[in-house]
Amino acid sequence: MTVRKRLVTIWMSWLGLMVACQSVQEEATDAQAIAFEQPASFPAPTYNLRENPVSSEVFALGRLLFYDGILSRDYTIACGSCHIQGTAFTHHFHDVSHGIEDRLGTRNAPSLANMAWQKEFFWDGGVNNLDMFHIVPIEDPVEMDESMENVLKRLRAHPDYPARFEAAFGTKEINYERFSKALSQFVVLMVSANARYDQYKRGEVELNEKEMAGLRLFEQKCASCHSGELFSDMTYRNNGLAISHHNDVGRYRITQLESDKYKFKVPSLRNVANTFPYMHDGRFYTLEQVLNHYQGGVQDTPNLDSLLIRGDQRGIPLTQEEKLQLIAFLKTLTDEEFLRDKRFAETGTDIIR
Amino acid sequence: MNLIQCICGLLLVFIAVACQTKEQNHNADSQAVGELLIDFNHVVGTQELVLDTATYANAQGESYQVNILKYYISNIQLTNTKGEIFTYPKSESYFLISEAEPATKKIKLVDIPEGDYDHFTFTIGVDSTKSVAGVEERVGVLDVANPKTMYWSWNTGYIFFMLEGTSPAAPDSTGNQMKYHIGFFGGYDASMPPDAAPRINNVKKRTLDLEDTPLRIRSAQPSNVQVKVDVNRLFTGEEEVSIATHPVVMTTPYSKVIANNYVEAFQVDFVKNSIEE
Repeated sequence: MTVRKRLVTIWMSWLGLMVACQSVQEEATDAQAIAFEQPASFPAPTYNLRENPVSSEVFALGRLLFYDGILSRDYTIACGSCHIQGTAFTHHFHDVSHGIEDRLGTRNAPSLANMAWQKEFFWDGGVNNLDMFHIVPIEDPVEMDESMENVLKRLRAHPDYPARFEAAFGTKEINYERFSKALSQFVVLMVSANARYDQYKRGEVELNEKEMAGLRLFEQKCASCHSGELFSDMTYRNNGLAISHHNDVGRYRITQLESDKYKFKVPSLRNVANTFPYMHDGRFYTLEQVLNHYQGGVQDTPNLDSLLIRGDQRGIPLTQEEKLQLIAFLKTLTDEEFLRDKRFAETGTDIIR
Repeated sequence: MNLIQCICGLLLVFIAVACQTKEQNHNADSQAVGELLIDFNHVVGTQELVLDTATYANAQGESYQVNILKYYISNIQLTNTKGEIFTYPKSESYFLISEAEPATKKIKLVDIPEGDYDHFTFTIGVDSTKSVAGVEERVGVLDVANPKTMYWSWNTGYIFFMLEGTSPAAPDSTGNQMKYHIGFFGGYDASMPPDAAPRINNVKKRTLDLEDTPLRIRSAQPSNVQVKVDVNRLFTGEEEVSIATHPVVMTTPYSKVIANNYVEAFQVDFVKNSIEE
């Protein structure tokens, strides 16, 4: 071997080593990125990750399923059809979503941010465990209109999915437990806790005067229901909306208790500037409309929340200026990083190697 | 290896084997077990239930046909004549009985301690603990992806008892359909204040008295109890149920009336302690 050849060989080996190192480093970065991030200001999560250990393979499988129309009868509707990242996983411009064959539902698609802390799911809280959630839109005739059994059969017969399940869970077996845990894991990692509001709370940025005025108003007039860092006390309340033509009875549908009629879950307000339209049926398209409702539109319907009753008056007193201040504050809840996080995107880097 | 080491080693092996054998024997002695076969026989009054073709009448004189009869049996317990309770392993104790599938109408229980049992207890439905269990505990007849499983996905919970059919007493506008889907385990409400009104709970425990002929569980041969389920009892009991007034009952409070009635539908027909009997 000539000296030159030897030098080339050494150089090639060195290059190979560098590439190898880089690849290892990249994998390490990915592995780090696919982890549940507990914000210091949040309570402990409700979802039990011990029964669903986080791994990049399970997460990637969950993302694949989330964005795949294979879950619907005619392959057209995916979870991501009505839960779009740019609007914090809601269906922007849609009061209610159109499912399979343009069939309309009766309720507005809620945001998926911070699902790890949700105790119950849907506007009426009918499902009490995230793993038991995923079957519902699949089998709902106006959403995906397919049986869970058929979806699992399709996945088993798919050229790619059995290998993905094997990578995630060790064997090619595809059952509801694995299917639901993959989807749950993808959704549970959607943590939104880095809005300007959070940065302000951590002392990293300052809010302007208008936003600060809004924050003070919020604490006085809104935070009894939209409480804590999740901006919801997770209860069910009737906020005085006029009863819709669907006569949606809300929580009553689940509990059959008269005292629950017309009550709906208090939604989180994180990313609220992006999650329009608002309310369980998406009847309001702007935050102004929402505040106008609370100020002057509250109706006296059965089980109207006592916090919205002041003697013979209803609603929350708000001046025009106060409304603008509140809206300025609500916009500080937008978490741009979350809305653009590539891990949750349909076109996200595929981390299965 | 010297001789002493060798002897010690052999001795250890011998002791280990001896201990193991003794333990096995001990288990076998104290845990002599037998099998129990339970048959669920579906009838309407004095007639055998036949799906789809036969016509029956309830106590109100309303005629009807049955297309589906399915229900969950769970949490089986046997109480012996000394009052000791044997609980069948909980994870093995969920059964979905369907008239359309004869194999499901026979339950086989194994490894029951030998003894004379004079009470047979079971739940009609799925208990509340299992109704809120994690997805990993929902297997077999509780697997929500199993098309036979009776499950309300939008209001997490199993349908305990299902009777479907047709009756001229039910409205023409719905094709004379009668449908009774009874569930509700008392609900789960993370935000429920302690003084909140209780939710509907239709989980029903039933104890059948076998004192006339106690079940003799012996290892030599399986015993058998024949349970009779009279569909007509759904319409009679604490409150008479009329198909005309209530052709469809699912998630409404009236489900409590149906559940209270069908508990009484489960009766002991007879006990067979040996094949010759």
